[in-house]
Amino acid sequence: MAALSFLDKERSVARPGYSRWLVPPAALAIHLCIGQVYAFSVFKTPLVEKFGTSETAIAVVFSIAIVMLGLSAAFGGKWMERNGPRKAMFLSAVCFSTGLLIGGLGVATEQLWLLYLGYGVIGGIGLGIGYISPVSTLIKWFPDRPGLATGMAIMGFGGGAFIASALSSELLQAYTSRGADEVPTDAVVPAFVTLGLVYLVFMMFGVFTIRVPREGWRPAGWTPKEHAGNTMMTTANVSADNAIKTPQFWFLWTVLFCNVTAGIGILEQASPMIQDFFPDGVDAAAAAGFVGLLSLFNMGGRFLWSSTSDFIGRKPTYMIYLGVGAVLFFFLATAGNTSVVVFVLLACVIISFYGGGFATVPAYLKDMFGSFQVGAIHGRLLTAWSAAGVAGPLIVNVITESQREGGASGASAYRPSLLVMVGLLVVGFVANLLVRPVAERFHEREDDAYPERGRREAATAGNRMDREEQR
Amino acid sequence: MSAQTSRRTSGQPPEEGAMTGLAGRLALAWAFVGIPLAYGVFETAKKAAALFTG
Repeated sequence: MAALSFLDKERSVARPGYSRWLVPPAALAIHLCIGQVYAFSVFKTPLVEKFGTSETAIAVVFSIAIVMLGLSAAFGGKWMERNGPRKAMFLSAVCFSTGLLIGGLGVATEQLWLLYLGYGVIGGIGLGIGYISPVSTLIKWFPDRPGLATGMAIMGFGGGAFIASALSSELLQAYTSRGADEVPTDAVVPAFVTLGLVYLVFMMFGVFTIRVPREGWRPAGWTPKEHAGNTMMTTANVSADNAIKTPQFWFLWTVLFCNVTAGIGILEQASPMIQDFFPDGVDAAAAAGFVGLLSLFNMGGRFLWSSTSDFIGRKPTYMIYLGVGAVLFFFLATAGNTSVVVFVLLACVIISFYGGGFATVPAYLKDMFGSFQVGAIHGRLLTAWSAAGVAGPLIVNVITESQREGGASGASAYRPSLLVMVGLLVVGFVANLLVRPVAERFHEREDDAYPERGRREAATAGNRMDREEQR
Repeated sequence: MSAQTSRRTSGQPPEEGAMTGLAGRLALAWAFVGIPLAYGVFETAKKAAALFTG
């Protein structure tokens, strides 16, 4: 495996002259690709027809991928911290690309289980490792602006869905020999293969561009705010194993869970919801436009709010997401049907908070637990995303259906589920209020967190003692 | 570029060639990810316009 030694963490330490502004494009190269998973629905109809199966059987592919994302992020985080971002990005690229190719083989041979294994399991591992791989490195390169740095990368995950959606549609049209009004089932395999190869090349750009800062590196003119009195920003480090023993981790888990559950509840139902709120004013095409607009606010919110958190602090930022979010949800439930403009404005701001919640949380974790194993801690926190992915749609679907069975229609059928979201956001708001600095007993000793620095300092101290003894 | 830069002694400003090389590398890297992202945003914005144009 000597040929792959260039992936080692030690081999990816930045040399003098490397600019930290090369790290966000490297991170974006990964996130823009793995964001493809959110555009999987483009292939849904061709796959249903190709396999002659139900929509649910095809939807399972996406669900497996998301579950594997959560599991691999949770369990692969410590491996990633040990081996560095370059090896993690390489693994992600290989898994994600291979997943698409095996998935393509499954479609070509009409073996649905191969699609589950390829795109779902193997591709899903690529998603999870890829999602967390640049986070810790970005935070180390941008200790002065961690929100901006992680906001840029995680914005890419949203942007990746835009690219994949447009590109996949173009590929299906280009490869099919069928008519415009027919389902392009014959184009799925070449589209999967093309995406797999293009994404491999694109992600390799990230692999070769990423560098870790040498130990002790700091941005010119920046010093840590050790004496600034900001107790919500630690200079200590907490390991991933210790982090999950702290109440702070679980408060943040609750915060993320509540914020994501509420947002997904709207995102998942966006198209039918706006048509039900305005049966005479919004048709299917306009509703699709509304979904596109929400995606833009989802992506923009990731960058805007996460960057803003560098100035106003992480805790106040989440107070806005959850507190203002709860108020906006309440207005959506009670006054959302007064006009399309009001409905769209409220939903767009809510979704920008949803995106912001994803992008700001790595910086919040860094403030609480330090940068030592922040990528691994982030991976474990993402289990809240997986849980919210189940809870959000379930709450809206179950409650709205029961309302319809009880005779409610239009906006009134959605009102109770939206009010449940208000309650959830209030729970998240309280959890955020309860976040306090981590107790000192969970902090790592300096030589445990940075053994090389400890050895170097010990050696320096030893040399000094030798010199003093010689005098 | 990095070899050039690493040869300079600490405290000296970076050589002009190294700075130009770094600027070019930064521009290329950002274009590599920025252009596909702009394409995706443009296509999505076109779709979103349907909400306002009916």
